[in-house]
Amino acid sequence: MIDAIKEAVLEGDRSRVVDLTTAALESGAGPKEILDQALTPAMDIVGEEYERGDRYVPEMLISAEAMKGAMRQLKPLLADAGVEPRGRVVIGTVEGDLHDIGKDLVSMMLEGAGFEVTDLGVEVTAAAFVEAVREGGPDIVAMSALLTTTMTNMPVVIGSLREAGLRDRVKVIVGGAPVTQAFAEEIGADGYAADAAGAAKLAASLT
Amino acid sequence: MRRQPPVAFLGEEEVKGVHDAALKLLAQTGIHLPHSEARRLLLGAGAGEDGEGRILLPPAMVEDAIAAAPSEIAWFDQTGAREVPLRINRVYFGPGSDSLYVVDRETGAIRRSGLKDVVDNVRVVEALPEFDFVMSMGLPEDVPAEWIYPAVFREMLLHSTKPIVATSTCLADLRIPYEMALLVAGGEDAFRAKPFFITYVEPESPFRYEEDIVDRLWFCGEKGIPTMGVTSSNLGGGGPVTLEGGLAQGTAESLAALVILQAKHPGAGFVFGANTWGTDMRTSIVCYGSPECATSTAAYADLGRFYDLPSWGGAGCTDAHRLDAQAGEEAFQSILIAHQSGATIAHDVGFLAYGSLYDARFLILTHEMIGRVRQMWTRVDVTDENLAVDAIDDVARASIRGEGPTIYLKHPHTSKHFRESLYLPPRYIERGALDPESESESLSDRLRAEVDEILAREEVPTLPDAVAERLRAAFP
Repeated sequence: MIDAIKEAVLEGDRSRVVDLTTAALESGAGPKEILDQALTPAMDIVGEEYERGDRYVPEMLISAEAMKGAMRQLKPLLADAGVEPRGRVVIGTVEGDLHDIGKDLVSMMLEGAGFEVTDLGVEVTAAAFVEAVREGGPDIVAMSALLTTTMTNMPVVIGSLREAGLRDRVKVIVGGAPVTQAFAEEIGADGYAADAAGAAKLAASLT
Repeated sequence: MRRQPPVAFLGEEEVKGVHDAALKLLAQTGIHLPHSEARRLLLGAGAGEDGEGRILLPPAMVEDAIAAAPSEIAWFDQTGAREVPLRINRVYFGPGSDSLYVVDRETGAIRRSGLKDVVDNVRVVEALPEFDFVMSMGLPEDVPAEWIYPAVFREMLLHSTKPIVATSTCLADLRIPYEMALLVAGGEDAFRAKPFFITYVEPESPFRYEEDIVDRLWFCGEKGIPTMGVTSSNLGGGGPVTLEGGLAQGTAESLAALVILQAKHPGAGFVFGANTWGTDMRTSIVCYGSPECATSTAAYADLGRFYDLPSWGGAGCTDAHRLDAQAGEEAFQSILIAHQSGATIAHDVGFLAYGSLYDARFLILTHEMIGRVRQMWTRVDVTDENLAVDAIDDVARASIRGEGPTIYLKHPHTSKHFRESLYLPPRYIERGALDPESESESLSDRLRAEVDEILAREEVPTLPDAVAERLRAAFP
């Protein structure tokens, strides 16, 4: 049953994943067992296949959607059982930038990797990031920008976190088409990834 | 892969103009044909002879030969499992044959080609699915001259399963490979039912059909080897400088070979076409990368459709000496045009330096061009599923609601169709975000990694052990 869930996630068959998860829970499987032995390993494979070039973004997304279907069932059960997520992430596209595809991809891959993700959406101001960190207490702040003109808002957010005295409490990761490793280092971010699968890996390495 | 219909280069009037000029040339200028039996056969069948002993072919005789030639010729891979029927509007790509030089994989230096280079290149082509047939890609210097053509043929049997286009300089070059082919096919009848190699002879332009040319054409006719008479009516070289004139001469020369073949073996498989490429007016070399190489390939495809005969042309080759932007430009132009025009056999893919040099990395790149062009020219089908009205509706609404498939990347329609509707380039094609601080690996290095990876694979034997052993023993 656990293997069948994993297979269904790999195939991106959301309704089958949901049905199989229901059946597994009814037959006595624990939510953590399903998460650790089916969902997370499946998404690890998805990430590896993407990195190898054997899987493409749409296929990664339908697998992530399928995984989310199961997570919806597991989440309350995991909370009841006192199982903590792998980490908490606050994510958003920076102020002035409306682009959400890359950010959504990263969100889905992070969820797939077992993170709890709070998505602030697009055009997120520095103040909104600060507010979310203060309230949610995440482990990671993830910022996205598609434009060279908006990536300059990334250091502004980092500055605001510092001014609010929150910078040391979170790791900051950045990404988006114009963003590079060198830029990430220059602005004092803790990490950069070139794609969504890399972002999930990066987040895992930082928590 | 289903493709869009071919694009004509020549209009009806132009095809007719070339055809009429070709008939006129054959009737008035005629051909040089010293072969006594061929003269007797043609004269007995209505040909004339002028005061200089040239054989004049009347239009009716030429038209009869065209009508007698099959419009579809069976051609198979070496296993007999996959048919690649030769007929108009089917396009097959493959490399070229007798290049003198090769780029050394280790040192990058240009040196004479050896038999091991032929093996390596054949293995690379075998691994690349967009190549539909194989040719030798080398004239090895470490093989006795009289053994070159049989030797490279044997390597194509031992290291490839693809259909073969073989070359020769004399009848023995053809007879020995044929005997090898019988070992693989399992006898004369088996080969005749599923011929896996075809060949061409190259009568000298203008209109010289020496005895040996006739012997080889007839040998093919007798043994069921599809063949062709490919002359070099190159513009300003072996032919007149105008494309129209080069096509008229090339058409007449190809049809004369057809007449000679049909006179002895009516109904034998014949592929129409000639090399009518640009000649360089500074150095007089034949330009494999000339735009005229591309346009004449398209023109012979048009003429082939007019005759209902499969056509022959060049593609994917260049005059550049190394793998650079010129090489890419020239190779791509003719691959695109060959594919769009529906030329049946597009050969010489990957040739560098006007047919004198092979570099395995360029095989990888030109192979990618073929895949790209095939994807570009995929059939357009205006079905409901492809028009995607429902998916568009879903995303338009979801993107406002902020729930469901808010972007196309998330919609199941995308994951269902992207693999066939988008070109998904191999990993050595650069795409994605630019990082100004880090220089990406050069294309030639990326291509070299591909070649190395293919050649490092353990080779799967292409023939049963017993056949391979007999092949090695019988033809040492």
